[in-house]
Amino acid sequence: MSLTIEDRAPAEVARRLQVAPHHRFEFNGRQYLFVTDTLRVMREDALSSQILNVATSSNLASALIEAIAAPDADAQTLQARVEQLRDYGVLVEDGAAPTELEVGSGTTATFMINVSQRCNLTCSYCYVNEGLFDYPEAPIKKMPRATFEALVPRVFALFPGYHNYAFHFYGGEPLLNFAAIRVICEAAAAIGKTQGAKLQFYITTNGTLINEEIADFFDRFRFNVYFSIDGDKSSHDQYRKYRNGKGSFDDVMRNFDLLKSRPHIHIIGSSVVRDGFSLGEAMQFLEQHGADSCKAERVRLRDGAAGALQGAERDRYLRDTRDLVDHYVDAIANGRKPMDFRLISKILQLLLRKRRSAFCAAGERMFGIAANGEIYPCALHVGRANSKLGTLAQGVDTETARDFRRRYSAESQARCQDCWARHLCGGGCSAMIDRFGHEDCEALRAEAEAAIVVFDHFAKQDPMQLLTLVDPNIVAWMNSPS
Amino acid sequence: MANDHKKQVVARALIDPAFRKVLFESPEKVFGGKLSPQDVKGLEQLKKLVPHLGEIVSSVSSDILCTGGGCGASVAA
Repeated sequence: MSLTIEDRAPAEVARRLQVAPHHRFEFNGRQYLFVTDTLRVMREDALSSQILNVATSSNLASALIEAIAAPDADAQTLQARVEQLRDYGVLVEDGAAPTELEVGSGTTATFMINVSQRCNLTCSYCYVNEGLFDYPEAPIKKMPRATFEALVPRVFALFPGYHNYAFHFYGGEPLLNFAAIRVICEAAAAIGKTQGAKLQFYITTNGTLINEEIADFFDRFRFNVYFSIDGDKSSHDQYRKYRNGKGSFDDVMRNFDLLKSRPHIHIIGSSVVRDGFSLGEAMQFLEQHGADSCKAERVRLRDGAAGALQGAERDRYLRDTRDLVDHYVDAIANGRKPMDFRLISKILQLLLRKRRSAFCAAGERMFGIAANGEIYPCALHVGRANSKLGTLAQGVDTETARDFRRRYSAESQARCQDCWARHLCGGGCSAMIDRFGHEDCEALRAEAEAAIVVFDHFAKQDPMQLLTLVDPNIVAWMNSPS
Repeated sequence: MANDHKKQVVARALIDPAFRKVLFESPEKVFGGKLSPQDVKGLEQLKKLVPHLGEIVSSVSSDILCTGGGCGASVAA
């Protein structure tokens, strides 16, 4: 039971209260209040609004209560509500620092490996320049044998001690260098076994080059395959064309079915949402065709470029993002993981009340390895001279890596200082900010609002149901009679 | 073991490392008696879930163009 103000010692009552940074928003007729520093969420009603509207500057708690003209609330109700707002961290005492934890540093190291730096498709919206990345001049086409044969031993030597090692094959189209993928996976399996490390394998592919041999290989190593499909034939072939101008849809769908026939491959259907192809349409298509998960992210193009989301299309994307609430609530309530997973990290942060200071682990325990063996914070930074952290031969310069992370942390970026979502976002994707600035913030805030609503939906009744997002079996056990 | 009790135990285990240690080392103390095979299995799952949960939270804030929410944290798998 919480203390009322009158129960407290006089000195405590006399402390001044301030309104902590927070965000108030409406969703489906309900008012939500999110506290920036404590990551607490509460439904806002008329009385809370009145209190917050009055408490715009430092107030003594007693003076604050006296200042509220609330004909429907007696003094005790007012005191209780002020206390609740204090408990949630909306009203804070002068100088009080939030006690919430930062997210931990994790036990998985991820390496995004550019085994190929060319692509057999010519998608005009490609954000890695068809595999040329950001080098001032065209880089080598593919990772040489000497580099990929030495890669895994160097990775384990340079980054020792992790419980899990994740290898994510990236490009260009990585399957243009399947020989490298094969050697790296085999070597990782051998070294991982001797060191007792767990392994995860990922690939981002356009799906055009997959055959029976590759499908069997992915199945053997239990690959998570980010498989690019942009909707039906007309939508897909509008952008995803071979160099001869032919659309890739027919090949891609044939190979998608090939992967689906293998039991140990997890397919993450990946679509680029753009002008004329909405988030809702992308998710519906991927679900109908049997993807295990879906990743439908909006295109990143300068305004005015063909396909760029602008005006009503952009508004629709933000609306669709907020509407993911229903998708998540329905899945969790029915004991299954949602197909979309963009909100999961934020929802779990709200559950554990852990703030983040960086968007991702890039430069800390996630790295991009270029075809020539250079090391960057992630694959999207490859070729940017000011992002280079080292090489496979020489290792990572820890001071450079630390500077990189500091530069893109929410704490260091001026634009983040007044943003209510900064502890959920961590400052945004460094690779995108480096290229496009903070144009993605609106979408990230829409995601944060959706995550808050999903969290709140379960938080009051049964917050443990949210663990469905990670492991539905745990929730089934908790719900089972014993 | 009542469902609510299990949920309370899991909720506390997620945020209290000391409690978690006792739970995994001496679950009978926490639950007040011998565990059913289902509960033993449930606790094993919980033991795996706790670090996995931290991994996901510390991986990436959002779906991103490069890899999506997984980023090695195996959200997808």
